[in-house]
Amino acid sequence: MPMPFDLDQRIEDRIEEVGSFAKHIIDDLIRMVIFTGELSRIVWESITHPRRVRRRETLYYMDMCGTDAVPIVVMICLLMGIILGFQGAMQLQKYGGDIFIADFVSLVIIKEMGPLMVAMICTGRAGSAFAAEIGTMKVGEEIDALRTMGLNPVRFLVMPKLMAMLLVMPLLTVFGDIVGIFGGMIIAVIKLNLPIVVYYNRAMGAITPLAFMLGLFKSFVFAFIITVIGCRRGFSAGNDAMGVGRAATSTVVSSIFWIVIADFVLTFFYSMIGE
Amino acid sequence: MIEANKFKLGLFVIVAFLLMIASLFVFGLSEMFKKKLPAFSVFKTSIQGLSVGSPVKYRGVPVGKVSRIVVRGEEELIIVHMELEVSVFNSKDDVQMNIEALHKMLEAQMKRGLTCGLEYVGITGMKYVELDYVTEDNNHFENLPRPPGVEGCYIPSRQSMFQSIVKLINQSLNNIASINMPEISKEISSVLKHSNDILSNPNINRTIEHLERVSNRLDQSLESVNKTLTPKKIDELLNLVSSDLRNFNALINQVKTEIEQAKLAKTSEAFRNSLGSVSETKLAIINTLSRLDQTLDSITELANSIDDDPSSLLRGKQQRRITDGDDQIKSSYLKSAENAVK
Repeated sequence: MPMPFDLDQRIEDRIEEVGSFAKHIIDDLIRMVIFTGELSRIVWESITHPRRVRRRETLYYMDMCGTDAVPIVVMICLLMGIILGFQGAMQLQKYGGDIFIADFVSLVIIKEMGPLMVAMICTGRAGSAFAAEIGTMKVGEEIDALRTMGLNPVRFLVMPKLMAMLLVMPLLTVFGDIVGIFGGMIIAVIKLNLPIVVYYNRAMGAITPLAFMLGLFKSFVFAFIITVIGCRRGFSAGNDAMGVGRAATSTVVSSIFWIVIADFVLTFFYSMIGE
Repeated sequence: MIEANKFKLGLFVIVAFLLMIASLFVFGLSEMFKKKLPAFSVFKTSIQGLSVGSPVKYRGVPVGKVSRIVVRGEEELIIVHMELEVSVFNSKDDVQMNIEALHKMLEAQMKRGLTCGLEYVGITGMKYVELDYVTEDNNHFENLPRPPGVEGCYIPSRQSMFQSIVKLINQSLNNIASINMPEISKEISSVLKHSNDILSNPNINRTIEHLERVSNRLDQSLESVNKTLTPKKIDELLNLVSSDLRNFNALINQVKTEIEQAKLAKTSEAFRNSLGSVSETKLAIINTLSRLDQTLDSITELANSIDDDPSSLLRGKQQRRITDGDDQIKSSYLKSAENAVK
């Protein structure tokens, strides 16, 4: 009877796979924490010694991740506002709560969807680009060369990206927020026949400066997550072209996962302070 | 390394930064620079639905927000702190008020019945603070004293409309509960018993039968009337009546015109004149008749005297001595003549 042996072996193999996957995740997490720690040290150094920041590269990444992303951010957030407005209008109309469309769209965009959609776009554009760039440098042994020359690759490669992302993502979120609220207004005016002034007054009454700033802080946190994951995946990419591709893919998936986790945690904390 | 497009980047950063600042101001950062009057009110009932940030309205106009809610458990009080925007209020000269003027104005209005009440925003259960006046219809003043140790303009609270309704319902229920139901039920049962007695009386049945017969006859009469007075006949009758009325009107008009043509005033005057002349003629005839009567008397006297003394016709009248009897005759004669003349 070979079957029981095979079944036991197969179960044992599966358990081993689960164990090794868990170990891999834990190791990855530990490496990520170590990387974050090293990056934090370098950030502190950059704050205390601002001249060490590579400004030209920072401006380049700001241009790449910020300015070039404006059209897609505007389009996605406008559509998101329209979709939210449409769905909200369909439900609120049933209960005669047409006017609350302004509250609904503006609060959802400002608190959640604006920062989240901008983070998704930046993950696809910047995070994967960071991973591919650093991964390619690793394949070309440029990182080893930097180390050989006594340069810290994290400070040299990651710091400009992080600075750029921390600066431009909140600004992109401002664009996304405003355009998203405008998208909701289009639906409110066309579908619900609400006057523009009424929608505007209602939305301005619903949004508080604190809610707006907390939304921007979310995008600040997301920028940190995208940069750290993107760069970390680049550093840990395989030494071939496929490894670079895998690193880019892994960056997008991991970033989205951790962004959602961070969003949950931040929303929980915001609810504790009444926002 | 590819160089950044600095113009594009600069434009992006400047526009985004300006948008952020503008958004912050539009979303309410400008309120930080507005002058606000701290005020508070005290509630002893539930303020479910009211939260920090809930609007404060003066007769429906937003004038501020709830800034803090404090519970004083020992005193069973809930203190609701509010911030009233000074810029919303103007004086009667249409000049914007300052904080002191607003404070004074509110105190003056509180003497006239200005109070805080909680009202529902909509169907969501959210509430807002409504500043309004206590009226005779809405006289549910809480009359809570100002709690010590709290700074700001104290605006007394009043019960909300919902609380008032609940209070009225409770009062109504209490009134209903105070009704002596057993006694009423006893009276109702006795009334029902009497009613049964009356209804079981045979006279009632006879009366009902009689009424039924009367109603049947009435129905028959009405039926016959309906048969007799068909709509066609009614129309004919109406036509006849209307034609008669028209003829009557024509007759009246004719009579009127004839009366007008008859010149009644002139005719009556002529008639009056002729009547006068007839009465004069009558008097003349009476005079003539009286004279004729006298003449006849004289002729009769003459005939008598001739008869008594035919020779007198030849000798003429004999002189005779007048006696008292003659005088009497004469006077009576004169009297009769006067009467005849009259």
